[in-house]
Amino acid sequence: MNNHFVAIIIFVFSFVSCGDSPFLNTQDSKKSATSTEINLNGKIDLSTENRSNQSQLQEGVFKLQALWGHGPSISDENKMMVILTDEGGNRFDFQGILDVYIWMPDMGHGSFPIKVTRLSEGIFELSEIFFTMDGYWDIHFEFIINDEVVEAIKWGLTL
Amino acid sequence: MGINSLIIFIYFILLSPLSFGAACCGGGSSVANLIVGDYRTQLSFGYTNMAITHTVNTDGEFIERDKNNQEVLETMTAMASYLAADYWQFGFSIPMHKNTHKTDYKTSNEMGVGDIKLQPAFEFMPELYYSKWKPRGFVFLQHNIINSRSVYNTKSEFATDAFSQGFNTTTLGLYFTKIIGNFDLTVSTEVHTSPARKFKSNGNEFWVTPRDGNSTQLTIGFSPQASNFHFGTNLKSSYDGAKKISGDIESLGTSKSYTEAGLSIGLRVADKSYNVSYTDQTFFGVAKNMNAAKIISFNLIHFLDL
Repeated sequence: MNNHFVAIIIFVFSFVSCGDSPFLNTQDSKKSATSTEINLNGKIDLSTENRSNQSQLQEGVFKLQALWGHGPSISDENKMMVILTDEGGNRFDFQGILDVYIWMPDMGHGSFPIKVTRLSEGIFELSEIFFTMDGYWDIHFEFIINDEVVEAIKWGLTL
Repeated sequence: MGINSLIIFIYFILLSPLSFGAACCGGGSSVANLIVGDYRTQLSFGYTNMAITHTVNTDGEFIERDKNNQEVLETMTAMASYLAADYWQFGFSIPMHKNTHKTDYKTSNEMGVGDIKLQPAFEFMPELYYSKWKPRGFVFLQHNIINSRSVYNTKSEFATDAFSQGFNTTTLGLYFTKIIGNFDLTVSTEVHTSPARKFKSNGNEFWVTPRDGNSTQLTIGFSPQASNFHFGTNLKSSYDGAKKISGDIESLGTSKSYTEAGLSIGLRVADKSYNVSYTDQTFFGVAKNMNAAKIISFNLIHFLDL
C-alpha cells in the first residue's frame, strides 16, 4: 500500500503544479481583428402605457454605432463604446435598460455576463466581454423598458 | 503473462479516456468502468492532462490555437467497482477537475469536483467454456449526476469553472472483449441521452435541449510472451446531435463529431497495474464543431478480493 501512497502523492503533485502541456502551441497569433465598427438600425415603439406614464422616454428609429475600444480578441477582455443617434444625427436618449450578451450559435452557449454602463445620453460603455473560443459569435443588443424587450438587434463576427 | 493479467490490461486501455470533458465543447464520453478479471473489487486512481490544441469549426476545419489562448484541463478521478454477484457489478467515479486558461490578459484557473457517475453492469455473455471466436459480453448503464457549473451558467471569464457538461446524461452501452493468443480485441459502443434543462445567465432564462449521441471504440492489444508489459492501440468515433436553445434565447446549434486515436503501455506488478496512454483527437483530422485535444493519462489500479 506504500507504493500506492507514493504514486498518489506523485499524481497530486502533478495535478496542483501543472496547468501546462508539452502539446501547446508556442507561436504568437497571426490573426487580426475582423472589424472595428458596428453599425445597426433599430426602432423603439413605446406601449400606450409607457408613452403616457413615462413621457420622457424617447421612441422612434435610431442608429446604433458600436466602436471597439479593445478587441475583438479571444485572448483578452474586450471593450466597446455604443452610441445611439436618431435619424437627424442627434443623440437618441434611451432611458431603459440596454442588455448585451454574446452567443455562439453553433456551439450553443454564451459567455461571461457583459457589464453595461450608461455614460451619458445615448452613450454606453460595454466591458468584460470575453470570447472564450474561436468561431462565429452573435452580439445581441436588447433594449428593455419595464421588463419588456422593446427592441432586439444583433451583429455577427468571426474570430 | 497469464490470461488474468492480460484481462486486466484490457481494462486499462479502456480506463484511459474515462473522464474527458472540456470546459466547453470538448470531445469526450465515458467508457465503462468494468471488472473483467477474477477479482471482486477494484480501486482506481487516474490523472488526465488534456491540452486543447485546435478549435474545429462547423466545416470541419482545424484551427490551431495560438500561444495567447491556451487551455489545459486536468482531471484526477477516483473510481471503484464491486462484483456484487456472479454477473452483476456496480461502480462509481468521482472526478476532481482543474481548468487552466492562459492568455496575454491573464491566467485563470479553477479547481473543483465534477459530475459523479454511477454504473451497474451485467455480463450477458460469460466465458463458460473455451471458444476460439466467442467473446465475453457486458451491457452497462451509466448515469451522470450534475455536481458543478457548466458553460451555460459559468461565472468565470473563460468558463474555467465549468467542470460539468451540464446534463444528467444516461448512457446505455455494450462491451465485448476477446483474447486470442498474445493479442486482445475489445469493442465498446454506447448511446446516450439527456433531458432538457433550464439555465439562467446574464439575465436570460433559457432551456437547453440536447440531442442524443453515440460513440464506438475499437481496441487492439498485445502482450509479449513471459512479460508483464502490455501495448495497446485504440480508435474511437463519437457523435452528438445539435442542441436546441429556447426561451429568452432562441438558437439551434450544430452537431458535434470527432475521431480519435490512442496508444497505451501498461505494466502489471502483483495485484496492481500501472498504465500510461496518449490520445490524439487531431490525428485523423476528422471532426466537426468541437475543441480538439491531445491527452496524456496515467492510471493506477488495485485489485482486491474483498
